[in-house]
Amino acid sequence: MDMPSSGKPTRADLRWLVDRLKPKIARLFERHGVSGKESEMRVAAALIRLSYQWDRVRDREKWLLTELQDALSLRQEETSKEPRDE
Amino acid sequence: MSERNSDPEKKYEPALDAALERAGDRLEEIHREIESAAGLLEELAATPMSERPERIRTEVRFHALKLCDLLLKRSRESWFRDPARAVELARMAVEIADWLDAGYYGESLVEDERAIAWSHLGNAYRIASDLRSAEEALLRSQEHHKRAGEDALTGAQILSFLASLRTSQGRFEEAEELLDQAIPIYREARDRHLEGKALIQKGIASGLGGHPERAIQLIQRGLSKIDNLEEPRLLVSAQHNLIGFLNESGRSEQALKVLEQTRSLYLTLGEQTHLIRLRWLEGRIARDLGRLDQAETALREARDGFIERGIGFDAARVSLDLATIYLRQGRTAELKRVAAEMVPVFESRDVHQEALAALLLFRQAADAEEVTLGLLERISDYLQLARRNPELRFRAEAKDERG
Repeated sequence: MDMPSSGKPTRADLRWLVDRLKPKIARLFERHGVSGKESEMRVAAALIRLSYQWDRVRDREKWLLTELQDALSLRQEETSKEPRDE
Repeated sequence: MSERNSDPEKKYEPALDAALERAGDRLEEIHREIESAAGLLEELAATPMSERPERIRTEVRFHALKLCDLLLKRSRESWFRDPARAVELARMAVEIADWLDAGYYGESLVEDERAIAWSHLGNAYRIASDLRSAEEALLRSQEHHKRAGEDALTGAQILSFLASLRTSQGRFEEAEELLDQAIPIYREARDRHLEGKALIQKGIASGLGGHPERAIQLIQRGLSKIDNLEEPRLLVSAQHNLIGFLNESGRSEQALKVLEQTRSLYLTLGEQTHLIRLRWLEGRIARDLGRLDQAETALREARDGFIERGIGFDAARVSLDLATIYLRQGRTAELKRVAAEMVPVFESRDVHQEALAALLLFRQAADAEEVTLGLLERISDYLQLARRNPELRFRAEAKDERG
């Protein structure tokens, strides 16, 4: 299920989206051990990007979740590549 | 561990609230961008083309992502009505995308916008029959797409434009393979309309590649998924191709039935050229049902309609369909006349030299009374592709006749 489409997202649209996804987003961040500050930055960036592409994205819930998942997967890959002190 | 920290939802709630606040603050700027885009576009459109790059470079107010989006929307609207304008608009979008501030929008979003702008320019070039520039633009699009972090929907759009280019180049199997990559992306994103559109696109590539039965199945599947209100043009085009492939696969009665069911759609949504194409299709179906008088009348009307509007390639192809009737009926004099009329009429139209050479060959064969149905079909198939691909060469002999 998705919000009615409109070219101009509102604060209420974003709130609705985040409220619906809150349990999934929280579990995702928890699993990746993301701090509160980082999670704020990541969710804000994803919401801003989504707002710019609002009329392009049909299933915004899925898009937002995938965007956060992909970003965290990339972060994990980069972390595992970093050289560690033995 | 406190109760607060053991519940992830509660733990992240303040962060999510703060994120919403930050994004919400940005919304006002996005709204301002959307509202000012139309005025900025008008300003640019009123600026002489030679001065536009300088204005775009020096005036920061033009460096707006939503202006770029609006230019791309207008370009899409011009694709079939005015291909040269579609190229011009997409080119402006590419120039603007080049100046977008990555510090403000974010590197990934800016690169994604550049990928989208270049892909639109590529598709506009394809429709304007400049396939070489289309190829180059789509390559640039792919480069930006990689730099953007490969957004799935943008990737699917590039694949779909690339597939259209391969279809225009006559590389039908490659087109189908590209669409096989795009379709699951749309399915995964739960975008039924774009999934349906890609299925229709694949069906058309498949049909043009000589597989009308597969084309019918794919187009029918696509039609069941698209949103009819979103792109009425797509609906007409899909139905039109479906009817054509039904007829081509020998199911002319069924084609006629679907045509009758679709007629009101042509009348409601169709432009004048749609109605001429409908008449052409009626003529072909009547011919294949053996109703040759009815077919001749319909094809003559369609041919005259295309000539009146300067649509040379289609007028030539309808003339070839007319010629098949004369050939079947043994009306040699009419066949020669149709062949003789074609060359002078099309010399002054949008038909390029290589295509004219194919028509000359038809006239020579008619004069020598050596026209065959196979030759007519080969010239017609060639013209269908050559319209968007001026570099395509005509082969007079059939594949199975070559040594």
